[in-house]
Amino acid sequence: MTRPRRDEYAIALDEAQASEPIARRELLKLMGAALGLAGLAACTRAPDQAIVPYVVQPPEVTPGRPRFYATATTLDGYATGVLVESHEGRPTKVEGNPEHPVSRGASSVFDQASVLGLYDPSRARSNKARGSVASWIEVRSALTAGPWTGRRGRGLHVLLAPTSSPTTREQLRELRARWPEAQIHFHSATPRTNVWEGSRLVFGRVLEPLLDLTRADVIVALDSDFLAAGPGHLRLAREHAGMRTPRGAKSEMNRLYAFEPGYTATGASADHRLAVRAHDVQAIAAALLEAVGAPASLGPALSRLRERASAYDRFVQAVARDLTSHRGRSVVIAGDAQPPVVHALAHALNAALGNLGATVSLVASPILDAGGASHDLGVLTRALEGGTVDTLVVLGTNAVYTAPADVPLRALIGRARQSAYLGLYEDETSEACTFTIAAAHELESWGDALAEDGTETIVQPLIAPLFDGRTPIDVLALLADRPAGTSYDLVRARFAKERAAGRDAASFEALWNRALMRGVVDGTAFAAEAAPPSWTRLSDALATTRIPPADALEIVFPIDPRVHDGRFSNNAWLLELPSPITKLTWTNAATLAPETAAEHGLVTGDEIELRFLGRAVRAPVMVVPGHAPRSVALSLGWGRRGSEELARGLGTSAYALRARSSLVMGTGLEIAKTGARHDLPITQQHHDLHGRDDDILRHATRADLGASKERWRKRAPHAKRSLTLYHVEPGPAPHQWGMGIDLSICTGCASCVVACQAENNVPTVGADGVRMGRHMHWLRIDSYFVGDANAPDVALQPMLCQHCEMAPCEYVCPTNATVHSTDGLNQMVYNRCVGTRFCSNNCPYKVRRFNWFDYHGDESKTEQLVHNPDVTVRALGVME
Amino acid sequence: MTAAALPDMRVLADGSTYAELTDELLGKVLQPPRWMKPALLVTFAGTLVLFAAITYTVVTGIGVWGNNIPVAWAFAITNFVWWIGIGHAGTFISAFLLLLEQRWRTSINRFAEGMTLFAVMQAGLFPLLHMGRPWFFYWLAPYPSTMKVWPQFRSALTWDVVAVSTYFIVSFLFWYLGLVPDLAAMRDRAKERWRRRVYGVFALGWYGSTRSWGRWRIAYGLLGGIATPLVVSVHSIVSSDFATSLLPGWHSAIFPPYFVAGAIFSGFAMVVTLIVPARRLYRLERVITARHLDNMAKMLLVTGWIVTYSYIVETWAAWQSGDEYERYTQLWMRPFGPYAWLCWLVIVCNCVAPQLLWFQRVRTSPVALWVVSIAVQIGMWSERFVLIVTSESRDFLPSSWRMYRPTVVDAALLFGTCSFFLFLFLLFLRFVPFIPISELKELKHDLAKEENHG
Repeated sequence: MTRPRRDEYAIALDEAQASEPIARRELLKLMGAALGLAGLAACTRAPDQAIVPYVVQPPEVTPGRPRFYATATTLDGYATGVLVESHEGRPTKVEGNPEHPVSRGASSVFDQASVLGLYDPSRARSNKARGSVASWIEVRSALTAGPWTGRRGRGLHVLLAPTSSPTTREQLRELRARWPEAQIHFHSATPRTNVWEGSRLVFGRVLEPLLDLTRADVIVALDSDFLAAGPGHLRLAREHAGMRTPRGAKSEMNRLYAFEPGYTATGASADHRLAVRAHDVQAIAAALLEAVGAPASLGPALSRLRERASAYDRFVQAVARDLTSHRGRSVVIAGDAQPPVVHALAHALNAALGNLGATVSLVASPILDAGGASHDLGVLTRALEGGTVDTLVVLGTNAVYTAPADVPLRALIGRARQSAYLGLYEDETSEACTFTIAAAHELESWGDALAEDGTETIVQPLIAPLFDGRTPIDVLALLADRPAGTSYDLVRARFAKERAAGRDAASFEALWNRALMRGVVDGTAFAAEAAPPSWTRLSDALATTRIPPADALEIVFPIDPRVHDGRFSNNAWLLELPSPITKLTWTNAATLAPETAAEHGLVTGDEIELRFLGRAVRAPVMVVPGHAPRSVALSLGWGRRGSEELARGLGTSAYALRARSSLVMGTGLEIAKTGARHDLPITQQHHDLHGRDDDILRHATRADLGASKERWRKRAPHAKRSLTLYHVEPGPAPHQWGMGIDLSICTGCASCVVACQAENNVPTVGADGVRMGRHMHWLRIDSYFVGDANAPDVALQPMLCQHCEMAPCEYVCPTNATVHSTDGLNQMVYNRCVGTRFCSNNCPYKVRRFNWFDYHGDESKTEQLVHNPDVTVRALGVME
Repeated sequence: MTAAALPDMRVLADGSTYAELTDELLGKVLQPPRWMKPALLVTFAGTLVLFAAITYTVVTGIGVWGNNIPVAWAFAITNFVWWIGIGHAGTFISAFLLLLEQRWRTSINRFAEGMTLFAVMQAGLFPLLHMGRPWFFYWLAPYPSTMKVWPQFRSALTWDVVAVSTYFIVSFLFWYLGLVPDLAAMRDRAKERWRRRVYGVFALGWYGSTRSWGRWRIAYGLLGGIATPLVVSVHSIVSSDFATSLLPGWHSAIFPPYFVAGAIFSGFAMVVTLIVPARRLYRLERVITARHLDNMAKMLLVTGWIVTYSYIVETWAAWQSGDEYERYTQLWMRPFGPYAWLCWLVIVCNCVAPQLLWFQRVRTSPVALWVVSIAVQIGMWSERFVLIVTSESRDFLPSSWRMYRPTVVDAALLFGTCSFFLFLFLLFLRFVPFIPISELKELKHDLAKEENHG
């Protein structure tokens, strides 16, 4: 759809260049006229760009009416089904697909922000060879030629991001058949190898636990943020919420225990949380298993391991009692960051509690292993060092940036004769490679992917590639020497072969269309595998498990909740998305506990040097109550050095500290204050309620639910005041809008924040804007630390316009720009606003926002495409 | 103490004839002093800073100020309230004291009225500038729009527009009407033809007949009557910008009287600040006597106490209300919060410094009085800042609390309006008879009559 328009521009340009040069006199005349017209034009604020009429209207499109298409987004290979809203061929908003088992109508922050990534002007716009623009034919012919073609593929190495695509699976099979000596590797900054190895220890093969929280009354999270991260978190959050909505005093709620080093959404939602070092979680798991009743063969190893947990014995014993009284109705979840033994111990706990087959089923991993290809860079590194790599093709993983610091991939890639990188951006990896191939965004691609439970979704494009990008399927087809075919043909052919064998053309077409339309291929979920546990391997593993030193400072490298592993670090919506608990934006920081900070004389904003395994980086400190003592966390994904305009130079790269031996955590960190200070861009500066709990965050226990209404009313603050000026409360209109947010199930995942940004064309203001207190989010999530200062609870409170019946913002507006609708909504008439900002002053929730500058003024044509045409793009100087 | 040490407390310490008095006072305008030119240049340069800052703000957006959410109003509104308050003393002197037949007002009333006018002009800039889209300022006025959209009459900002514009118009008319006979005198004394023409036009054909004088007195008295309630109403309405909101520290019923007292307080301080140097430089000690200084100092003392009393009532009411937000703002945030130093500065400048005025030696010493008046100016500006910014920066939800820090542009606007004000004031001194000559002669006449009878 964009092509004809582009052609029109091209023609217009050609004509302009071909026209006669303008004579001096003519020029003066034109300038005079232009000045005069400019004077006239200054009277109105009409845009001065050329507009193109919607001349050819596709039959199925009604201008002004959005259409929704089902597709899937993937993160580290796992798919989430989504519906994408499209306005006249322009995707603007992503929603969850209610029919998809993982999404169930929900979507993550990354899904929500993906439309902004699509229209990112920093994206790679052309293929490049050694830094200069190259044609696809040039790149293609260079890549498919080389000595490896005559040596059955020896010397060809392909490095992929983890993927679940069935088409890719077929392609890799073909590639290996065509070039048996070619080598395939996978790389991810955050591989799930711990999960797979943990399963191997117990079941002897790779299986992934599939949780069913609808039957779990007691949940124990061992350093697992299952509510806000990981392949199934949307489904799990939904199931968890279902168990926390009591309908009366009699009905039950589930109970969530969390052990974790730093505060996560899961920890904030937990009923009981224990802040422990990441290294001590294995001891807790061992102690729990021993208390619950371990298989005899594990006994001695466990008592050695659990030593470190003795300090938390009371807590652990209480959890164990709760678990044993909920056999078959509980679940223990190990976090991806924890080593394989912890996953194995979690399996053992679930087995001992009778949860296997009840709340936990075991399924195959949807992630391809391509004949046992390596998921770390070891094999590739050795090959590069040995000089046996002729052609290296990197598909969609920014390996140079995300590689551990002791793998000098940037230099090693140079040892290959030629290398190519398929990426969305010209980033660190493309810098190191001979060729850069502009990648197509997921919303521009044909493909397929599996969800954590195996459900298959066909990925369909919403728009033709904006910058002529290619997909991994395109490149693999090229390497496999397959006769020219588009990725659409390949995906369709694979689908036909596997799902529609023996069908006639018409019934295939119906099946294919149904799959596209629903976003789910029926009957593709994995069957649960029967896998009897065996404890011999685990007991061997436990016996050799190293017990980390007790006093050493540990470093943890968590996945960043905003930019993930760094792939989203050029997305302004995500950069400006406040971190769930700390509300930090536009950078990362070394988070640590108040005790640790006091020990080293640090306060939030101090810069420290982190020294770990002989390497050092500098980062600002953020002191977070509720963080585990003697633990420092530095999230991944920052300190980018690619050509991404926004990402470059923000924050500190944790990859510079990571070693192969300590991918997610390590002990022996040393920190030293440098004396420098950072003014951190934080959206919420006060996390203390100042004793206002009764008014702002009232809470009650489940027992209170049965109490009389009178008792509730007494707790309401206005009951204290008997005098009122308002004798007549406004009565309900015939139709009245209402919206409730259940604070007891909100996890603070912030998808709603990004969704609001996408839906309402909310601009971002940058780090300096946040420092000045000018962030524009209509919807924010306030977090407060409540209770014991040493082990505080986190209270989360989404805050947005409350649409007050007698809105304080309305009566103070001098121009009637904010008014009440008949159905009870508090409306803002942007074009009537003169910007006195009185409404903001008078808003007790402080949710009003002001356009301090012309935030949309310098948007490029590409960036403008993301706007929702149904919502006004606000001008300079108006409130919103 | 000997009689000689006592200051001369006469209203007019002058023994010259009417003609000599006229000559002398007009001479001050017709032969400007030598410092006038450089002073005009310096203040003009400052005025350019103001207009540069205004242009930058309007072109770029309010973002060039330090304002944020929650502190959506800060310097601009502080400056507005401060300047409009300063204007009040002028009206108070010229109208209130006229009705009360206070003779001592005569020598200083035009001076004070000029100050009012120029202060209101500065004040008027800020409500315009602080708008996000100042080019639509007229939407606040109830003009007959073809779309039948009216301003929102419940908003205090709409009342503000009416109050301030009424105030400006009435002040201007009052000032101008008083000026007419003196402009005629200027016309009659001027040597150049063009000067006669110009002053002639502005004198509106005044020829000083008994009938004219009779009409003039009636009109002047009437305008005085109209202007007097404005002294009370304008700042009452300005105070409702805050009092009608629900912010802790703003939502208070004491605001109207408290603001009016504060306005007269700061206005008298400004009169003193201006008149003390002018009196010295123009050698006006015979016309503006120690009696005037003494009286104005007493006004400062009285209004200072009203302001102090208001602080006490405000604080007490906050405690007595039992409202925890109100208590937090008044009893903790202001005296001990991050802006506490400013709050204590306010107490020192507005409550402590005026206590010096209990001593007559301070009241009649131009230097000491001038120092106190400067303290009051600073104190009153800071008071408005504390009132506005502390309430906003910490209101109900701690999650949105945030500090405000001014930018260079904020400072440039404050500095710029001070320069512009002084520039206009110097122009006034340069071109207009700033001591009301005719009224002064009348006063002289009355005093002489009293003496004869006495």
